[in-house]
Amino acid sequence: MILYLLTVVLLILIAPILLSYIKATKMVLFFKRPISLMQGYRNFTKLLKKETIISEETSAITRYAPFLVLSPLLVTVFFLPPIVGGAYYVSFVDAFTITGLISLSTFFLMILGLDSASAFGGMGSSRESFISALVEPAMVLTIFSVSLMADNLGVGQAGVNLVAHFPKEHMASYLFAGISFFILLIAENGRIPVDNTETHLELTMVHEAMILDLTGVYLAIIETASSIKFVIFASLFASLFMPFGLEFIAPIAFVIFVLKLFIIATAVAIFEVNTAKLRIFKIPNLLGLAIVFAFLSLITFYVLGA
Amino acid sequence: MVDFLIGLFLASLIAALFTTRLYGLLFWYSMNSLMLGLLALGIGINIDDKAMLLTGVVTILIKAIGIPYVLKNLSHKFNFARQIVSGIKMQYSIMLVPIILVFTFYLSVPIVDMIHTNANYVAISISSLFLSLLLIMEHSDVVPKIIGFLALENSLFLLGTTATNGMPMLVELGIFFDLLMAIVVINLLFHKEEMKI
Amino acid sequence: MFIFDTLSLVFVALILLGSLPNLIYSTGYLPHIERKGYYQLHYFAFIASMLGVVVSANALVFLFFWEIMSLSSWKLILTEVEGKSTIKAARFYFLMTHFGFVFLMLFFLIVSDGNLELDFGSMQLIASKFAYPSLLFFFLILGLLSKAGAVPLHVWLPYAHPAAPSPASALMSGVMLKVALYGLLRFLFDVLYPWPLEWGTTLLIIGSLTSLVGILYAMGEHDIKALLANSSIENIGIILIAFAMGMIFDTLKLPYLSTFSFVAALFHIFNHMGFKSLLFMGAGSVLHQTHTKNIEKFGGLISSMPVTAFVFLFAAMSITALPPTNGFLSEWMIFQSMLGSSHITDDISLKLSIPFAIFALAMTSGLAIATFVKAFGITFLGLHRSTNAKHATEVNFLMKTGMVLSALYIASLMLFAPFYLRFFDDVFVSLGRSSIYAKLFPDGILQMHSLSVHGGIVSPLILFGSLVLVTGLLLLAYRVFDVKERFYHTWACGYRTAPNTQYTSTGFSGIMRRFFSWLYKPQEHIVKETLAGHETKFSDASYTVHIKPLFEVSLYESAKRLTYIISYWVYRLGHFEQTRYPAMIFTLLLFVLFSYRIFADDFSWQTIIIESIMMIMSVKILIIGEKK
Repeated sequence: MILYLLTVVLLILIAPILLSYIKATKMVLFFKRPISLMQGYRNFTKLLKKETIISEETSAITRYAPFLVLSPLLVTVFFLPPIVGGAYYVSFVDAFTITGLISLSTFFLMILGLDSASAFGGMGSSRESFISALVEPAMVLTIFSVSLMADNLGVGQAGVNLVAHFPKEHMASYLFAGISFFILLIAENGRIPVDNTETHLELTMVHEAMILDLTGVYLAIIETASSIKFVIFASLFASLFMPFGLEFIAPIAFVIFVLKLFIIATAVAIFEVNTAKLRIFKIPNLLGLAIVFAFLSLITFYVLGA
Repeated sequence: MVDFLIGLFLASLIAALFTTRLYGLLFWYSMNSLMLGLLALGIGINIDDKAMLLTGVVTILIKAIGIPYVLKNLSHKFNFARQIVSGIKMQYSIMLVPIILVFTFYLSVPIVDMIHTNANYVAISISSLFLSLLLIMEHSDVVPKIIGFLALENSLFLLGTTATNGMPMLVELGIFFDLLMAIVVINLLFHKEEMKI
Repeated sequence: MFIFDTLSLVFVALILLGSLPNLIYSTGYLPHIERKGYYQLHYFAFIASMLGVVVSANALVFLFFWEIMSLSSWKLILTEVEGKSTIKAARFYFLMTHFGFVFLMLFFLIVSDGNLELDFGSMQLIASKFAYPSLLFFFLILGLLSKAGAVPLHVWLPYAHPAAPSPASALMSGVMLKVALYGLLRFLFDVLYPWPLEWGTTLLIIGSLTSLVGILYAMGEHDIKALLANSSIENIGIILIAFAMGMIFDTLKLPYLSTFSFVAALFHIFNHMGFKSLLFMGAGSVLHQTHTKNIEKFGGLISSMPVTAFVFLFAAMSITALPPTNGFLSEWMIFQSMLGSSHITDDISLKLSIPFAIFALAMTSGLAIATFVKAFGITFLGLHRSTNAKHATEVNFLMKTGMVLSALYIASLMLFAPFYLRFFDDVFVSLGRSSIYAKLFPDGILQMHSLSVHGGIVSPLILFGSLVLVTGLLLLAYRVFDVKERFYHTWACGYRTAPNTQYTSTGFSGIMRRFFSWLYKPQEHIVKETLAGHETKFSDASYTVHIKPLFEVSLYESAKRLTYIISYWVYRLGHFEQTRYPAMIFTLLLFVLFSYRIFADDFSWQTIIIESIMMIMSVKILIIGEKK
C-alpha cells in the first residue's frame, strides 16, 4: 500500500518535469540553451500567485469545468499499473474506464472552450472534437488487442501479466498495437505533428485555443492536467509495451520506471524535432495510420493468431 | 523474433502507403528492405543455410542502402518534386487498407492450411503483395511507382522465403539480376521523363 | 388476450417510467399548443396503445395496438402544422410505418397459419415447420426495424420526430422505438428460436452501420431536434449490436455471454429511454422559449435557463458514455461482450465482422462526444446569437419538474445499476436463459464483473465517489486559498468578442463535414458582397450548407424512379388492345404455377433463374410484342 501511494505521488510529481524535459531536449537538439527541468514547477507557482481574471462572457461552466478537467485525470493516476512487483494495484478498473475518464476530461475541456464566446475557443473545441473522435476508435482497438494478449482487460492486471508472460507468440500484433499507441500518445497530448503547445498561432492552435481565456489558478489547473495526461499515457506505454523491471526491489524498480518514462519522453522529443506540424486536414493521415495499425493488430490476432 | 520482424515489414509498407514525401517513401522502402534482410538472416541462422545468410546480407546492402541511395541521387539530379500526391483520398485509404488486409487474410486461409511451417507469414506476405500493388495504383508519378514495384519484389521474396523455408539461392540471384535490369530501365525512364519536361 | 410475463412487465415499466415525467412536462407544455383537445386525445391514446402492444398476447391484439400506436403518433406529428414540411414529414412517416406493417402482417399470417388469435407460444411450432425461416426473420426485421429506425429504413426518423410537439417527440424517440425492439425480443425468443448464425451476423452489421450513419448525420445537423433524432438512430444501432452479440453467443452455445449481451441491450434500452427523453424535453424547453429549432439562433441560454442547461448537460454526458454515468455502464457491457468473442473458434465471417463492429462502436462513441459538445455548447454557452435567445427565460415549474424527474431517473440508473440489472436478468431467466446476476456481482454490488474470459471489472459507485471526492477536494482547496477573482474583458487577440464572432454550429462541424464529405456530399452556397471587385475583400458574406442524407438520395429517390417506370408500364398495360388481355392472363397463370412449384416443391436458384428467363420471354413476346 505504501508503495502504491508512493507510485501515485511519484507520477504526479514527475509530470511537470517530464514536459520540461521534452522541451529541454528539443532545445538541446536545436542548439539552444535548455530550460531547467524545474520550469514546470516555476510556472505553476507563478500562476498560483496571479490574480484570476474571469471573462465577462462566461457562465458557471468556466468556474467548475477546470476542476472537472483535472479530477478524472487525477483519479486515473490511481488506477495505473504497478511499477514495483508485489505492490498494491487497483484491480477493479479496466482499460475502458481509463479511456472513458480521459474522454471525460476532454469533454469538459471542449465545453470550456465554447464557454468563453471567443472565436478561438470554438475553433479549439471544434478541432479537438475532430481529433478525439478519430483517436477514440484507435484507442479502443489498441486496448482490445493488448488486453487479448495480456489475457486481462484490467490495466493493472494486464501490466503484471505482460511482465510475467511476454507475448512472444503474438509479436506482430503486439508491435502493431505499440505503434498505434505511440501515435495516440502523441495525438492525445497535443505534441507536434498534431498540435503545438508552444506557439499561439491561430492556424495551429488546438489545445491552447480552448484555454486562451484562462488565467491564474485555472490556467495552472489546466496545465497540470495536461502534464498529468502525458504522464498517464507515458506510464501506460511503459507498463504495457515495455514490460520488464517489475521483479527488482523497490528502489531499483522505481529508477527503472523513471528511466523508461524519460526514454519515452526522449523519443517524443526526437519525433517532434523531426516532424513538421501537420495541417488540420492532414491530421487524419497520422491518426488514420493509428487506426489502420490498431485494426491490423486486432485482425492479425484474431485471424492469424500471430 | 521472426514475428516481430515480419510485423515491422508490414508496418513499414503501410507507413510507405500513407507518406506524402518522396524521401519519406524512400526511407520506408529502405526500412522495409532492411527488415526483409534481417528476416532472411534470422531464418538463415535458424536453419543453418549459408546461401540464405548471403542473400540476407546482399539484400541489406543492395535494397536497404544501395537502391534508396541511388534513387535519392537520381531524383536529386532530375529535380523531382519532393511532394508525392496520392491518387486515392486519405479517407478511402484508411478504409481500403484494412479491407485489403482483412480480405487477403480471409482469402489466404486455404493456402495457409496447405502450408504447415510459418503458415501466418504466407498470409502476411500475400497481403503485403496487395499493398505494394496498391502503392503502384495510387500514385501517378514515376518514382512511387518504382518503389511500389520494388516493394512488390520484396514481398515476393518474403513469400518465397517463408513459404518454402529458404528459397534456392539461384532463384534469388535471378531476381536480383531482374532488379539490376529494372534499375537500368528506370534510369532510362528518368532520362525520358526529363526530356519530356 | 393479454400476457403479463416478466418481459412484458419490464417494458410496461419502461413505458410508465418514460411517460410519467413526460406527462408532467406535457402538462406544462400545453399552453404552447393551440389544439389542446386534439393533442391530449392522441397523446393519451399513444401511451395507452404502447402499453397495449407490450402486453398483447396474440397477433391480432398486437397488430391492433401497433396500428393505433402508429396512427396516434402520426396524428401527434400533425398537431402543429407549420407549412408544408410538417405535412411532408407526416406523410413520409405514414408511408414508412405502413411499409413495416405489411411485413409484420405477412410474418404473422405465416406463423399463425391464418389463425390470428393464436398465442405466441404456439406459433413456434408452425414457424419451425416453415421451410424458409430466414424469410420469416427478414419479414420480422423489416417490419420492426422500419419502426425502430435501422439503416436503411431510418430515413423518416429525422423528419418525423422533430415535427411532433416536444413531449410527443420525447415519447416517440424515447419509448416508441423501444416498443419495436420489444417486438424483436418477443418474437425472436418466442417464435423464431433457434437462430442460425447468419441472423446474428446480419443484425450485427446492420447495427454497426446504423450507429455510424446515425451519429455522422447527427454531427452534421443544425436543427436541434433532428440532431437528437439522428442520435436516436445511433443508439438503436448500439442496442442492435448488443442484441446481435447475444444471438451470436446463443448460437455458439455460450449461454452466459449470451445473457450478458442481452442484458446489456436491455440496459441500454432503459438508459436511452432516460436520456433521450430528457434531451428532447430540454430541447423542447429551449424551443418553447426561443421559438426556433435552429441551433444557430441559440447561445448563452445557460444563464437564463440554468435548470434546463444542467439537466441537458447531465443527459449529454450520459449519452456520450462518459464514466461514471449509466450510458457508460451499458456501453461498457457491450464492449465487454464483444471482447468475449476472442475465443470463438474458426468462423471467418464472425472474426471479420466483430472487429468491424468494435471499430464502429468506438468511432460512434468518439463522434458522439463531438456531437453533444456541439449540441450543448452552441445551445447553452457563449453569447446570445439572436434576440429570441436573449429574451428567453426559464420554463415553468411543471416542465422543470418533468425534466428533473427524468434526470433523477437517469441518476437512479447510474447509482442503482445492480438493482436494475437484477430486474433485467429476471427477464431472461423467465425466457429460459441462465441467470448471470450472481456472476456479474460475485463480490458485492460495488464491482461489476464482465463475463468474458479475462474480462474487466468496473465499479461505477467507486468511480463516482472518487470523482466527486477529488473534485470536491480541489474545489475546497480553491475556496480555502481564497483566490482573488475579477470579472473583466479578457483579451481576444484584438478582436471584440461579439455574438457574431463566435463559432457557429456549422463552423463547429466544418472539419468533420470536410473529412466526411464523401458521405455528406454537402451543397454549399456562398454569397459575398465583394468590395471593388476584389475577390478577397468583402463587406458581407453568407455561407449556407445543406446536407441531404445519402440514403435518401440514393435509395429512396431511385425507388421513386423505379415506381414511376413501373407505373408507366402499368398504364401501358391498361391501354393495350383487347387481344393482349388473354396473353396477360396466360403469363400470370404461368407465373403463379411456376412460383408455386419453385417455392413449395424444390427451391433452387437455378430454377428461379430459369423461371425469370421464361417469364421475361413470355412477357416480351406475348404482351409487349413487336415494336412498331
